[in-house]
Amino acid sequence: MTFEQDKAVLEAQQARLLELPDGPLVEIHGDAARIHARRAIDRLIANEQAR
Amino acid sequence: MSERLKIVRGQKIDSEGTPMFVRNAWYIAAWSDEVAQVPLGRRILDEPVVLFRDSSGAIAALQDRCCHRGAPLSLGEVVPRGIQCGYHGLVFDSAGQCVLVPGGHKVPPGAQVRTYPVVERDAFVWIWMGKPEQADRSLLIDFPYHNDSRNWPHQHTMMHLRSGYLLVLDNLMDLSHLGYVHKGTVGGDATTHVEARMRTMRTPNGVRFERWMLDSVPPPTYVKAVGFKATWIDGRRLNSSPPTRCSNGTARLMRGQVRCAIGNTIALAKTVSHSGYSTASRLKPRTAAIISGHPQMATARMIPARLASYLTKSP
Repeated sequence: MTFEQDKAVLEAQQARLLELPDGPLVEIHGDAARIHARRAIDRLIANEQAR
Repeated sequence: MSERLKIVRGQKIDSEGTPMFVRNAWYIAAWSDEVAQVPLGRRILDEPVVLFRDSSGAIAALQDRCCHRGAPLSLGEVVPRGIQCGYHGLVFDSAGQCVLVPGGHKVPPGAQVRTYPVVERDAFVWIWMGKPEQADRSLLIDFPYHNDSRNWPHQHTMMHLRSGYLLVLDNLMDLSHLGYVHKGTVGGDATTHVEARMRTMRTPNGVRFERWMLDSVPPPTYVKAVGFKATWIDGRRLNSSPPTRCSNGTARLMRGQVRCAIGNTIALAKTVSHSGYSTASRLKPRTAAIISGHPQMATARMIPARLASYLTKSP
């Protein structure tokens, strides 16, 4: 049940982003951890590419 | 262009639009009980992989491509000596070496299929998609709860999402969505979630963040599962390290005792692992989520001392 709720919003979000890719997206206070996580992935991928 | 496309597709891509992943990390390829003596085809980090259990019971992972004519090995079958291609009958052992060409013909040199390191542990099948020589078993995460079904009964599954893996990661790393998306289940009151005290810490390979919701009313799913009525303290901790895997824990303190609930999502140290990113098409991002849920309440004695001590130190 809980995961179906996530699936519903994530798939709708993905579809809408693909449909309207050019509009602005803003960041709010609660985004701190997820921004850190994305940066960590960027760092790890960059490190692997550099080798 | 690439930055924008990365956001739009929910996954990191290179300048040609090809998805990029952290490769040198352990990913969950399957649940143990999904791998039997029949081939299981999976797409992991956009690579086709075939998993199977050999005659000794050990799990092998090969690139899902016969080195004869390129047919998927997952269309074949498991035989005593390994996996047999369903097209012309070549057999490959768990090390990817061709051991049989039907008709008694000689196995040509170089008849070898790429293999991936795999480890079966705690009901998970872990796979290393990066450089095999860097596969380090000490980086695996222990999850002993899966081996104790009496105290920690659990159910598990896999869910496919038509979204990029970064959107799934975003979802797990920002739990302020709980009060809205999961209002009627594991979320409950939105204000409680939005006003949670949060602490974000960078770790060597990822990030860890904590959220504390003190004196909060338990959400509907937990009330239903364990009948909690009292006000509780809800500390949620999320780890993302390596960032391609997330774990999510929820625990409760009642009258000074650590109690741990539940959730088809979660309880203390329950894992929601998002792994085995399956990208069906470059333009249509796909993610597979490996999900484990423990609809169970545990008492303090079952909780590892280290975690219990952490949880009692609420702010």
